[in-house]
Amino acid sequence: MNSILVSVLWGILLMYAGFLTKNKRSISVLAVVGAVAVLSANALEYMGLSFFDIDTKGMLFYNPYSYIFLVVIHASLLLYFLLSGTEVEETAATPSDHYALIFFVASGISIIAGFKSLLMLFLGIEIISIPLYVLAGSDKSNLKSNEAALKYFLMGAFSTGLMLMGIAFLYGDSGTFYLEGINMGATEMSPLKAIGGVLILASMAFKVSAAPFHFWTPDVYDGSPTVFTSFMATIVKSAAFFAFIKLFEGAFGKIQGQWQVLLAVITALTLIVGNITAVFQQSVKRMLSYSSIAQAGFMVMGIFAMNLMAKQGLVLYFAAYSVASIAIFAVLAKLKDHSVDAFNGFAKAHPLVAAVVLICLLSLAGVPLTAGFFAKYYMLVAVLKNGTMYWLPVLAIVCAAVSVYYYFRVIQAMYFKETEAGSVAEIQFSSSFKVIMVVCALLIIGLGIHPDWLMDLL
Amino acid sequence: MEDAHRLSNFLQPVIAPPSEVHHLEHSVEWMLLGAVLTLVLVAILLAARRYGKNFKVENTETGLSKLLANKWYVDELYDAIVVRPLDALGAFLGRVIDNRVVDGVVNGVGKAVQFGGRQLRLLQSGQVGSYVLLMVASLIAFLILQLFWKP
Amino acid sequence: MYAAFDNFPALLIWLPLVGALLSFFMRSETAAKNVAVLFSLLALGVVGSSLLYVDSKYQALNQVSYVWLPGLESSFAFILDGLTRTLCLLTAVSFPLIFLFIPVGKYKQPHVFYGLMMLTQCGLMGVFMATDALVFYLFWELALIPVYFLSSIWGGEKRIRATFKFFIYTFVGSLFMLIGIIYIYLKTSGSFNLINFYNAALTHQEEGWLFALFFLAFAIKMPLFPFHTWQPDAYEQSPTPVTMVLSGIMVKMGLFGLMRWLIAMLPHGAKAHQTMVVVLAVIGMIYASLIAMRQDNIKRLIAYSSIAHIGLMALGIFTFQQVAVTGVVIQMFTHGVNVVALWMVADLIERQTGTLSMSALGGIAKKAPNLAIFMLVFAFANIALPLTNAFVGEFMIFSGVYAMSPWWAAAAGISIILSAVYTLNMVKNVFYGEAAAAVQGFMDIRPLQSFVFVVLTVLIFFVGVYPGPFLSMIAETVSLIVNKLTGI
Repeated sequence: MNSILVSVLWGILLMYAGFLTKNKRSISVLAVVGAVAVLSANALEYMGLSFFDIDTKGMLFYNPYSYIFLVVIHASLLLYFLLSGTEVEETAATPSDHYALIFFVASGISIIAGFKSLLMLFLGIEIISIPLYVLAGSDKSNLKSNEAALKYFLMGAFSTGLMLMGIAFLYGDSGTFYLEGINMGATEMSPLKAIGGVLILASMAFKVSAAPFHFWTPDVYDGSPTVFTSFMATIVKSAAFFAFIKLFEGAFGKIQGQWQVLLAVITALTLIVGNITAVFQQSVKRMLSYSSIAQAGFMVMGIFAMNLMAKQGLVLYFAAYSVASIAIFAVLAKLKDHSVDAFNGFAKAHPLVAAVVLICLLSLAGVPLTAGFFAKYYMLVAVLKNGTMYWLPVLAIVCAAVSVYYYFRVIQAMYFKETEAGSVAEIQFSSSFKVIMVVCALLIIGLGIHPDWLMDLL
Repeated sequence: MEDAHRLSNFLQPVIAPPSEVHHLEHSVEWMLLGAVLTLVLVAILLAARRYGKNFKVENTETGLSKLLANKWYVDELYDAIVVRPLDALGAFLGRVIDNRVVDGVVNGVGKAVQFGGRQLRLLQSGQVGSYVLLMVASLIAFLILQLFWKP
Repeated sequence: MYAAFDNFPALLIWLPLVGALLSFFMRSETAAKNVAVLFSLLALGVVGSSLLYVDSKYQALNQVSYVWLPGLESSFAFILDGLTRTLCLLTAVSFPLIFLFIPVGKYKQPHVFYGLMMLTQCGLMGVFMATDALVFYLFWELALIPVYFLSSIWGGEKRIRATFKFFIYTFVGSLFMLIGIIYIYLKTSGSFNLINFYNAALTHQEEGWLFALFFLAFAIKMPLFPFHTWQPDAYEQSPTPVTMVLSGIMVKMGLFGLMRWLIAMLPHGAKAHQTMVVVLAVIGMIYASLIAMRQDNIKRLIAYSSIAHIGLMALGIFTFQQVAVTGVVIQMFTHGVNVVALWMVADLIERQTGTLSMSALGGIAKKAPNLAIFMLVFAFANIALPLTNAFVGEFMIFSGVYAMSPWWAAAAGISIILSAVYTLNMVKNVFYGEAAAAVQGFMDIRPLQSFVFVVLTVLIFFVGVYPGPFLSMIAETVSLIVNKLTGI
């Protein structure tokens, strides 16, 4: 709960900071300090030091699993600020507004991390979503950005409607908003519960951009300013997944067998649509949007399996996926041209940054000795341990092989192709940027060699 | 001749040496040796008489001589029934089967994925209306699946 | 993961890894090369001295296990036994020779080149020695990735496409294997250890499916017909040192996998699929030999010839006979030596003439008699003439195949005859006859190259004439594998 408080306060602070200083740099510094503050506030609570104690009637409850999830989120947020701060500054005259919105999203994520009641879930999801509509449209002079914001908002409103209706049905069935109460009912699903479950499943699938509710993702991710795409595709998506698994474990854990077919269908569709469509994309940004759908397919597998392996593995997946994507997006945001060919000759011009991007791409592809491998590994173990539907992991690895195709196109461009007339050589990377990139690479390799450093905490 | 069986111990740790070796009497060995040597000598004498000083190549245009001069046409025969068909088969396997069929299947998988990518991309029309329609259709399908389909 | 350096397997993993890291940071080419040569020679020294400690009382020296991931029940466990010692010896012998053979100034960014080569060596050693399935998988991939970059950066014109196909193909195979590994792991008492994998409670039906998953990975890697189409392109497009590693050592990963991680682990599955594999192997042998006869490019010829040889080895393994499987192990070693030697000759020709097309070559023997003599030795070894190393292995494989079924032996024999046809044809076309325009000014081999060739020749004749020590080293490990299949 510390992190809810600190992030809200810091968001308000940043809103007013815009009046106090016109220096964009110092606002970014303030945001970085804020991320550290949120991170340490949460860490303190994990170690037993709570700043305040409100009786939420059990609607919010945090366990170590939630805390570690929040640590991963806040650490990713810190890396994100450090790598993409300059881009946030460039998006507007007053970057403080955008930073404030990001901190409000962070407070929503902190609510999500501990919800025990559908009300809190709804509150958290909306607190996350509404600032995002603004961030998506923050490049006001760009038509694509405006279009993205409008699309996101329209479809987001639709999914909010679905979620509310689902909550209503579940309330009608069990007479309570508490997850335990919903879970306690009969082992046979009543029609009301089934309808409510499907509706809420659809809205959650929308939030995590799982097929067939993913249609907004490529358009919104592609249209939004790259720096905010990075935020939406990584940190926010991880949070939505956390809500997803918490909801389904809490409210439907006992009757797992009865909704697994639906989740298997969603997983399969997501994997196929995400991976196959990404193959044909010529723009790296759009390819990463589809790749985020593809990665979501793997994560939905964890929700399908819903065992200890899956729960632990998902947090590792969040870390692996977020760090790698944030780093790649940070580089992408600095390139004016987003096509694959824009990466030609990148390795020769910027060997260090290219090496980090290489490691990130290998991690996304799930190559061993990177965190991405163990993330996928845990998902596969979880599904195989589940003991049903063996076709699902097989489909998943076939799709993982397809994913190699599009990730490696960027690697090929960077390392094996020559650039025309030094287009990539013009980009400058500051030395602090390089240091943070190396930190990302070390995190990925560290978790790839020894994932127990994270898993033992869970 | 005590080293005569070295060869049978060549692969010894794996292939056991022959457990029982036929030993011939020495007299028999000498007899065989003598017989072979006699035959060789007779053959040499015959050849010397036939192809000796006055030897000249006879007419090889016809009959048995021609057949013999061309070594019974064995080379040509081999060429026709073994070498050329095998060459043709090798060329066919390399050019058609390996490149088109076996590799074609492999490349076909890749092409199929690319083709699928092009087709699936069309679902992403950019129209919010069609997106919502697709979502509602899937939602209805999901509801039907959940409510009425019992495995 | 706390290293103990007082045993052979750990040293064999760490030495190449340290060598790789050091090479990466070398500034000059000679320094990078010297580091690579030094560390690969050290590895050779380790394997060589391990040959003196094969007895079971030195077990502590030959076996190691560090706890790695307690949460995952996996540990860095390695072993040196007869089988792995042979393959590690092959790896350790080949790398220094390959390094010595690389001319100075041939590859840009040499420090990266040598670093990646050493990394490949580390991966190969790990694959051969691992006794933990997850570690085996990690090293399996670790060996692949540097090779992908080596080929894609320093390869020929069509390198990007060819090596990418190779990468995706083998990656798909290994992912299937990963599913198999996880499945078996879940059926064990909770460990990735090889022994536990051998004792996993699996029904015959499960074994059948798992066999398919593992077999796919190994068959692609070997490669076995019809999974071989990545190979000729990859061999042709890779820089020659990488091609040597690929064809000399890396394809042995697949054969090695068949022995340690397939037939011994899933004996019922192996028995059930025996006929299928035998048929594939025999078809592949004849098929590849026939295609090899029609190749004009020497690299492609050696590539197809390699497919045929690998087919014979796969056939030997699937006889499940002690003599044949032992023969396969020794053949794995000798094929590695022979094919590296052939690639070296091909590379010398390409360096001087700029072409490997047989129709553009001819009469090299007149210009370079010493090279021609070495080439004849290597060619005879490739067709397994008696007293060369390959004869031993092939003879043993054939005696096993014959015991299984004379008909299969006869069919496989065709491929041996064809191998003589295309190999000798190649020697004739390239080295004899009229000197072609391209070979004018061809220089004979230099002292360092002769040294490398002499070492290879000595290896060829040593194993060919006196295979006894090798055979006795291998036999025990092989009998452990084969015994799992008897009485089923």
